[in-house]
Amino acid sequence: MPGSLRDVLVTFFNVTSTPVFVYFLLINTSYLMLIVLAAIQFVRDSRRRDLDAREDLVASPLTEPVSVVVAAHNEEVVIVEAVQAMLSLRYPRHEVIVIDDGSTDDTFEVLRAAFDLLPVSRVVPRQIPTRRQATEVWVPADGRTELLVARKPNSGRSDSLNVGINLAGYPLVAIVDADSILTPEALLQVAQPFVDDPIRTVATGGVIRAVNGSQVVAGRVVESRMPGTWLERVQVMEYLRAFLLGRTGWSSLDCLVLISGAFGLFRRDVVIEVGGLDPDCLGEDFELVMRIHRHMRKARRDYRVTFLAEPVLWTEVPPSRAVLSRQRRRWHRGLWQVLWGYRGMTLNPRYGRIGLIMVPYFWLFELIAPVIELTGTVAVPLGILTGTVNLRYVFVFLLVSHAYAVLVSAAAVCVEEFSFHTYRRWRDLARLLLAAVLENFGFRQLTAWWRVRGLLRALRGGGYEWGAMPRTGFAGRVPQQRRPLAAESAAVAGGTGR
Amino acid sequence: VSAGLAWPALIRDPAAALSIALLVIAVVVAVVVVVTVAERARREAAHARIAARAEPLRPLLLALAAAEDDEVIAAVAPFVALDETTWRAVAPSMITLLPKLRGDTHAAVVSVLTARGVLAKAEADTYHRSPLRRAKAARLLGVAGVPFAVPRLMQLLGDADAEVRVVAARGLGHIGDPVAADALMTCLVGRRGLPARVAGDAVLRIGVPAHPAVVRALAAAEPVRRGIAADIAGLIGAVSAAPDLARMVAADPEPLLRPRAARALGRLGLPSSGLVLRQALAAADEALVIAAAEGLGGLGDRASIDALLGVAGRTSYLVSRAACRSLAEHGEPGRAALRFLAEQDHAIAGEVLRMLDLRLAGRTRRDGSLVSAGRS
Repeated sequence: MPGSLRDVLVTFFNVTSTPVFVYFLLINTSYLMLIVLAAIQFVRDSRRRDLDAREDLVASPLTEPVSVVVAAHNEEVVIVEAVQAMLSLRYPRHEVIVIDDGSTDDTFEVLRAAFDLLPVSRVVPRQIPTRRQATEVWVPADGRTELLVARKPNSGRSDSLNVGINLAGYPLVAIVDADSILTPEALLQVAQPFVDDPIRTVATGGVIRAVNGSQVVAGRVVESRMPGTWLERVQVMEYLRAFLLGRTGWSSLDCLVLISGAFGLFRRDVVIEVGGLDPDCLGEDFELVMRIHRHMRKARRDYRVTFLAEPVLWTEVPPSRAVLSRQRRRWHRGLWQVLWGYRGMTLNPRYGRIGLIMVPYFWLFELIAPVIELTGTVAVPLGILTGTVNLRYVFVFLLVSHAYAVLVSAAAVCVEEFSFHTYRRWRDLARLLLAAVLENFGFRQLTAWWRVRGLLRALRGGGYEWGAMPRTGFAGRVPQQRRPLAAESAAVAGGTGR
Repeated sequence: VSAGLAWPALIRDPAAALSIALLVIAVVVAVVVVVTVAERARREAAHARIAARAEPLRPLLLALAAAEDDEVIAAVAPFVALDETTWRAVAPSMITLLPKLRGDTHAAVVSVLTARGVLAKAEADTYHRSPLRRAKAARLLGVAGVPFAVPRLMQLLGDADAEVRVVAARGLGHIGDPVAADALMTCLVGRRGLPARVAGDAVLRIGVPAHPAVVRALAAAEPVRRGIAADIAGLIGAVSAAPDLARMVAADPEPLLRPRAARALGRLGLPSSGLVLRQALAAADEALVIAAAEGLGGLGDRASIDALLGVAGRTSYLVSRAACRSLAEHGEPGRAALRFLAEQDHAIAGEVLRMLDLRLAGRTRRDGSLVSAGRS
């Protein structure tokens, strides 16, 4: 082994070992703290569950109606069931607006047949500028089902949602993914903050869980189960830690910067004020919430963005490594896009906690984390080979770092068990606990590699093809090709916890 | 990490320190896993225990829920006589059931809760230092609909805890005693103010007897009170509020309230409101014009149709749509006006007309199928 490499490694370890140790302590401790905050919030929520006023919300003529906006591109297998489920969501008054984003399959045809659609002339206001306009608007022939289907040439999910928001007739707009499953009371739950704090609440979001393996009947998850493969199981663990506990923790600190595009409820006037979703951003939902924060803070308006752990959106997580790789690369590219686009908010006191805590946190612990992890994964074996590291120390350090990560995930499972106990079978609990351990051996390192590749690609610039995403569908449906779910882009803002 | 590494002096042997850390973390992980598993076991055992205790009482609970008139006393008796342990197993089901019950069965369950001392305890709990206990107690008294709780719940409208205030307001709405209407319309402002919609819902539940309080609130100095009062006045049909609403439409000092007043005036559907609403169509504020146009939909007079025809031609999509939709509510004369507009390539009029046709055709089909079903 050349002496120069040895010298480089000695210098490298001398310079980096203490900062890396501190970094590792900080990142895992921050996750643990978020979990503790989430646990406190869940205890508070569960004690107040008896005070739930959902029935009052249903009965009240003062409850603001909601436009549910769905962008669909080649969703022929799931779209009818999804729309039926959305129309039957429990809520006093809501409409469903489906934007067929230039589907090349029978997405529109199956909708037309299922809902007896007829074409109508419809003037679509352009309160949000869009790249493509709706070319046709269809409504059910019965004249009373609150469904509207608009067709337009393909221009992407964000642009389609902007068209949908322009078409929306109600003051609240829910953005929902086409092939995800909402719990029947989800709309009521996610709208509650708009009733409790109508002046300040501008956006609310619900939690995303992985549906893989669960039993789905008639568009409803009847029994939640762990998926069949470890790759999916580990993602269940990730979603639990990041989407449920991470966001609840941030929300309790009033620092929520991400509402998943798969399921979020927004005040329509605010979304229009900020110009809708950015069609050029891979993390469009993250970007939208960041823009709302910036807009409201600049205008010195008192506002709230809230996350709720109870309204659940079930979505399918990638079942294969190739798809997962693509997804994680895309997430990280989107994360870079948003952070770079909003770099002016970093450590800027004008933006309060968002600028002083959240944005720096995302730079430090979400964007850079995989780079540090990957560097360690490469440097440590080199150090061992060249004899520049203390073997005993490295071994114990690695064990400690992994054990701490396991502790964070195990704590997440524990909180889930005390609060929601979603997985009823003992074997699923065992699998969840085991996934908390296994994700640290191989999965973490792989995702770090994919995320670094995404970051490098972002730094190089250039366009991005979403690519097709094979789906197994709910309830044993036939495999289909589709583009990624918004739930996936939602996770652009990291929150994967690693 | 390397041989020459200078660690902080506090940690002379980092590997040993890390070994201790590893041991501690491993123990904590083990504890977390054990606690998780223990919680699962405890919960399942508790569910099984409660289910076993409650199961024999299920038929009695069903009998109570279905009891009418004279049967109520007989259905209540077994629950009053239950031993404390069994009662604790069945009480949560009964309390959960309460908001969904009406009439005799509601009264039956309330009588059981009264006999078991649950409501008396709830009333005592409204003085508890824990806000959660106060809120839960207030909710129970509210869903039980017991008039004796009204004074205490009115006091709780000024509670230090926001949640208690909200629950108390909802409770007063469930009880429906008009005595509380003024308090509900007053407690919207200040540091301890209620969300307007919560108070509004409660007053809506009180309904017609709340008219005087609503009319009084229309003259309040605070915009938040006038705003929610206008909404409620329209929804409960407070005809006596029409002059105040008309005054608000024309000249409320808070411009945001004028459209709400216009909408309320439209809901009341009084012919005498037509002039005020038509005048509002000339306002500069688009929101007011939209609300006035919507409001005119309920009146159905010729003058309104003419006024709406003028507004439908404006360039603003939202104003034009509101006017066309309003015309659609004016029966055949309104449809004729829409057809007139559509013939002149007014796209929104065409859109509204088409939707109207669909709705009518759908209704005809439904009526037809109902008739067929009736015949068969």
